[in-house]
Amino acid sequence: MTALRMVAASTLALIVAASIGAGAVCRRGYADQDREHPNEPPSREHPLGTDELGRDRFSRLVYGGRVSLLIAPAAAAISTALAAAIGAATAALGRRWHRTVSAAMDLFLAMPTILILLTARALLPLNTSPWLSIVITCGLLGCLGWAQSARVFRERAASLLASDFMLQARASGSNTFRTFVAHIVPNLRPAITAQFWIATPLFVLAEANLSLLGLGVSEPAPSWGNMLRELENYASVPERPWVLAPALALLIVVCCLHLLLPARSGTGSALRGGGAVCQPLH
Amino acid sequence: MNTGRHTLGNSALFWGHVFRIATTVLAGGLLGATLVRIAPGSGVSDQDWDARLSAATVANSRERRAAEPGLMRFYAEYLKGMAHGDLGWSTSFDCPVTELVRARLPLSMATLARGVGAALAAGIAAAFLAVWRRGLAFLPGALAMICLSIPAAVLAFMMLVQGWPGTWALAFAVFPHAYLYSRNLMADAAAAPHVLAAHARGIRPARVMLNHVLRLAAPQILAVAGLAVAIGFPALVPIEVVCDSPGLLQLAWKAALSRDMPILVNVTLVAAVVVMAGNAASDIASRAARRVAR
Amino acid sequence: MPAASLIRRNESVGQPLLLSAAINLDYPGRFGVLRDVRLELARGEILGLVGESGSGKSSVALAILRLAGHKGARVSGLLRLDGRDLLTLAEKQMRTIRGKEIALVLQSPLAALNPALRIGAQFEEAWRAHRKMSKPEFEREVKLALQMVSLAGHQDVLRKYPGELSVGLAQRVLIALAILHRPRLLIADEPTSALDMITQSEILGLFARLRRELNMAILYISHDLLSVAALCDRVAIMKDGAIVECASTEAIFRSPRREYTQALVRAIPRPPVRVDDPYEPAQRGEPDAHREERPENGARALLKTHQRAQEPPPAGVP
Repeated sequence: MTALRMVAASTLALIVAASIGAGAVCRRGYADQDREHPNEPPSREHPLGTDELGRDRFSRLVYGGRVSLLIAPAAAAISTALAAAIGAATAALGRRWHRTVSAAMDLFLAMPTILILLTARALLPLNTSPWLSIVITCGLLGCLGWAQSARVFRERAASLLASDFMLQARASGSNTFRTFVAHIVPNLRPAITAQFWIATPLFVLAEANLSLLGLGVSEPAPSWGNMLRELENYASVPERPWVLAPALALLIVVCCLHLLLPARSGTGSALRGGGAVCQPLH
Repeated sequence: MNTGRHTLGNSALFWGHVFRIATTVLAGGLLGATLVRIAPGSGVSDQDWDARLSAATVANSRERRAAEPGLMRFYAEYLKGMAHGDLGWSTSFDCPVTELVRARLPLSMATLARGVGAALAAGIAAAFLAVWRRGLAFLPGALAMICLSIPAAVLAFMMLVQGWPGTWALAFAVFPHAYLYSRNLMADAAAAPHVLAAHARGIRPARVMLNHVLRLAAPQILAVAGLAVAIGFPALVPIEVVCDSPGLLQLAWKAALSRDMPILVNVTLVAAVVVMAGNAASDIASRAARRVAR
Repeated sequence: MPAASLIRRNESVGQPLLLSAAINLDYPGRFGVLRDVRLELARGEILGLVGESGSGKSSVALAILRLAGHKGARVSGLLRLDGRDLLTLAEKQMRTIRGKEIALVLQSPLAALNPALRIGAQFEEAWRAHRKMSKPEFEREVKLALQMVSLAGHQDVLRKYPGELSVGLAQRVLIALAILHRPRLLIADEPTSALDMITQSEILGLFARLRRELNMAILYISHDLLSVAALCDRVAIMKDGAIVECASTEAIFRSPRREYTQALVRAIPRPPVRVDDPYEPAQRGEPDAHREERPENGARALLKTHQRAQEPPPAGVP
């Protein structure tokens, strides 16, 4: 098992390094169009061929990795921070607030996240610059994906608040807020780390789905999701399987992330633990 | 679960769920009405916002807006309409939202039922085998891992290439969750001391699995069904879009592209009701099973 | 570790050898959980296996039943029951031995019963595992088993769910389930640690009686030297997956050889006051100072309970 995790970690490190150093890895820019050679099969010049605008698919894949692998952890960080803050605050604020916020949370959870995402996306301008679209996608995913893990943090914080060491702290007359910061926050840290790692692969996939639907990262900025829009011409996919390269990249990255999840971490991963938090956003 | 709720009768449980769904619809409806109102282009068509149009037209639209009834009145009217089944007017399709929903919901529900049903059946069976014979666990585990790592939209494309219907894509998207959750539940049940005690009594392994493992995990596995609906319904968005199947969730996508708020808001509400109903049904079944199994 | 030299068969029992084992057990990633654990049990003998938690006691129980595989462990070595090699037996045949020739009683009685099945159903299941169902025979045997664990008047227990039983009652039911097929060896893994003091002593008395009446050998696993002293003929002391010392109960408490055993014996709490002891009227009123001079007093007190437990019960006691 540890050997497998080592392989996963090094594969992931390799992919991340390649996307960071995309300028050095690729000979062409992701938006350079070679109008003479559209839809080319793989060659020495273009390792994965070119798309219909004559852009080098390999360059787009590597630069796309930069976007996909930037959005997912950033969104995961935002949503985990939001979830931890809301969950811990709900637990700390006592019963009446607990009920109100829980009801709001349940309402939020009942609405399928993707539909809220669609609604929110529709409220924002659609024809934005590619870089703004990246920021919007990241922000939306981060701000809408917190409800599920907030529940975990709320329960965690509530059980910590009811624990003996809190009783001990209260018995020795410590200030409430300071005890909270001193005792609860450090104890939430493992859960926060676990949630972040659980959320990251989900956001990788969510970005891909959203961009594929034309509601995420917009052209010419590349992302693995919007590269997969080439699949629209699905009938010809068996003849040019190299258009599936972004899907393969997604598969490898998400598999590696899943393998790296801490086995039976406090909150549990869907793969090994009994956690109820690993719901996809799609 | 806390034990106090075990004693709740079936009817109390049922009405509790109905109440929850009703509150959600009410709150969601009000929220949706707000969105429809504040959304760009509410009460006016998209062209009014085009900069190329004359300032006079924009001023005109502003006037029209100002002439609208007061806020409270607006909400009251909206809720009244909802109660009568009037969900507003779709600007992009130029027809009542109710009509669109009515025409498209059955297809989505049928796909959902078949896909989630197949995924649950396969997932639970695979989990049973994986816990019973550990040597076999690798196969469904690897399949689950792969399905979990491919976006639902790509799954749908793969089905298209194979010439299989979108239902299969949904089944593949939900399978890993059904498998992993039920496998974890059964593995936990199998680790209980009474299972070891049963083996020590020389009881046949198959019988131990049925009587001591599955029987104890069954109520929780029933609850997984509700979860599968909650996971499967959103996954239908990319699947219906890719497979071009005229369902409710494809409608939502089209509405998002043409910024048609009334459709989006109401489809979200309908989806919430479906997910909550699925949860309620599996919760009631799960509690009933627990009462039978004590 | 020359464990063999430490083991002497208890000559006083004088019965043929039932079980001989030399067990090595590894978990994936944790090697040497059990290292050449040698045990020998004669028919009708009670062997105590004592050690701290984590010393591998429970793994011994699982290894003998060949159930350690359920926890992912690998077992090697030697395992003979009545001269039959258990380690090379096919799983199917091994299943016919579990519950029929070797039975297991687990630590926490309520967890060891399936909460979803009535007690009667669990008896029926245990019966069907090894015999054809014939209603009258089954009912007679169950009644007998319940009688043997002093539950003669409790036939209604069969209609109950485990959740409705007290811990002590559940432990008796579990023992009745274990002796349903009159096994030759009963492995009791910390059977009394979840019980209160009074129930504990009742269950200990029950084990002594079962051995007398059914000539059943018992491997009694515990971390509690007091109960071991009261019940066992011989004691094996375990530490870190190996047997440190194995001798008759008297030898262990009177003249422990190994340092670890000496520490264990020294750690036994002394009874605070000399209670009125009907067995030792002569010592009543002895000055306290006298006790101070005998540091192994706690162990001495134990030995007395041990000797008492080995005596046949006074007439009239069931």
